[in-house]
Amino acid sequence: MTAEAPSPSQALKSRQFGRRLLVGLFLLALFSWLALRPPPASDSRLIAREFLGMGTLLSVSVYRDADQDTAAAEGAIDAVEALLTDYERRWSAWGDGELGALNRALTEGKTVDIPESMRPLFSAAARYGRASGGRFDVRLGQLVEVWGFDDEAHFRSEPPPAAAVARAVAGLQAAPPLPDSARQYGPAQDLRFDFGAIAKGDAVDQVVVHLREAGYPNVIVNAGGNLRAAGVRGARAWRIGIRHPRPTSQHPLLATLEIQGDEAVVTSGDYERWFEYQGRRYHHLLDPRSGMPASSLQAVTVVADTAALADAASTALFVAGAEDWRDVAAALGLDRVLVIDRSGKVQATPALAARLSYADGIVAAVAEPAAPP
Amino acid sequence: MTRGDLLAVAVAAILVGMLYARYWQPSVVADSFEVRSGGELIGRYSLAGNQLLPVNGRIGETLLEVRDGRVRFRSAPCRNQVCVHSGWLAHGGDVAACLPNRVSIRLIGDSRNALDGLSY
Repeated sequence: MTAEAPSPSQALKSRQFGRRLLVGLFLLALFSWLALRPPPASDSRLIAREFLGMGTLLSVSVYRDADQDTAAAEGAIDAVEALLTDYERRWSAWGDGELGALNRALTEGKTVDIPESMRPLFSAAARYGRASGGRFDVRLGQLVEVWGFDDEAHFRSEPPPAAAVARAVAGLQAAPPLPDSARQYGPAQDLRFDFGAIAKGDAVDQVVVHLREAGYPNVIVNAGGNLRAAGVRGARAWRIGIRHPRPTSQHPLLATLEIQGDEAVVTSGDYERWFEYQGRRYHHLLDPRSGMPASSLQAVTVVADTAALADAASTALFVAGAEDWRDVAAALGLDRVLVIDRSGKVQATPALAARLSYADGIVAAVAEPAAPP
Repeated sequence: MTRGDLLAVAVAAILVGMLYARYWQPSVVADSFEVRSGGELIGRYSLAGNQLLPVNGRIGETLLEVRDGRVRFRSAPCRNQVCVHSGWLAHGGDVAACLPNRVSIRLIGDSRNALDGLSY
C-alpha cells in the first residue's frame, strides 16, 4: 500500500509487480492452507470407554504410550469394568454384597463385624465424618431411604412426612458413633450404612491405582462427575470442565481446569437427584443433623489428592453451607474449593482460583479459607 | 494505490473473513455425538442440522433432539427425568445419561480443544 514510486522506468515497474505478485501468491497459498487444512484426525492413542454402573455413568479414558497396543489397553479397561461391577456389589447398601449383609444384620439388632477388606473405607469415612462435624456421615442410610433417594424406583414427588424424617434423625443421633478403626459396629437397629457420598470416589481411586499398576499412568476415570485425572493427555494436560449448576446455552460450564499430575475433582450439587414440590427444590444432599436437604448453596467443587476425600468433602461442604464451608474445608485440610451459593455468587479459594479458566461472563470472588483448626 | 495493491487488500480481507468464520467459535464446541443404549454403541451422529432421534432403551423410548449444534434429551420414559433436566449439551466431552433407560450420549469435538472430563 505504498504510494506510487516517482516516475520509475517501465522495467522497474514490472519487476516490482512481479515481486508483489509472488509475495501475494505465497500469502494466498499460506492462508488457504491454514484455512482449509483438515482438522487433525482424532487421537488414536486415546482409548475411552463408558459403561453404566454404581447408579451412574462411568467413563474410563486411557492415553496409551506409543509402544503399548490398543488391544492391551482395551483389555485393561475390561478388567476395570469387572472391578467396578464387583465394587458396586460389595458397597451397595441394599444389595446382596458385604455392605447389604451388614445392613441386614444391623436391622436384626446384631452387632456386626466389619470385614477387613472394608475397614480402610470405614476408617476414612469415620475420620472425614468427625473432621466435618457430622456433616458427612455414612450412617445416614435410613434417612436416604425415607427421602427415597436410595433407588430410582423409590423416587418421591413430595417430601416425606416430618415425623418419618424426625425418627430417622433421632435414630442417627441415638446410634453409637463410628470409631476410627472400627472392627465392629452396633447394635443400632434403626441405622443403615450408606456409602453413596464416598464410594464412587473410592472406586475411582482404586481404578486409577489399578491402571497405573497395569502400566497405564495417563488416565482419567469419571464416575458420574466424580473424577480423577492422572498423568497427561499426550502433549497436553487433561482438560476438565466444571458444569454450571444452572446451565444455560451461554453458560453450560462454569469453568475449566487443567490437570497434569494426579488430582481428583468432585462436584456436589442440588441438581443431580431432586424434585420440586410447591415451588421448592428438594435434593439428595441431606444434612444428617436436620434430616433436610441443605439449601444455602447450589454446588461445591473440591479438588483433592484422592477422589474419596474430594467426594466426601464436597458433600460435607455442601451441607456446611455458605456460613461454614470455609471452616469445614480447613478442618478437612482442603485448599482447592469452588462454591456457588444460592444466589449464584461464585467463590473460589486462592489455590484453585489461580488455576481455573472461568467461562465468559462468570464473575468469581476469591475466598480466603479459614485458618487451620 | 495500484491495481495490484487493491487486489492484495481484497484478497487479504477475504482470507481474514475465512479464517474468522472458521476459527471464531467457542473453543470446546462439539461436532458430533455418540449414543449408547445398555452400554452398546448405537451410533455416532452429527450435530449439524436439526433432527429428532428416538433411541430404544430398557424401559422405553428416549427422544434426543438435535438443534443449532446442540443436543438434549427431549423426553424420556423414566420417572425423575434427570436426563431431561441436563438441558442442552454442546461441548466436546459433555455427557448425559438416562440411567433407568440405560441410554447415554457423549459429545465429540476437535480433540485439541475438547474437554476430557466433566465434573458435575
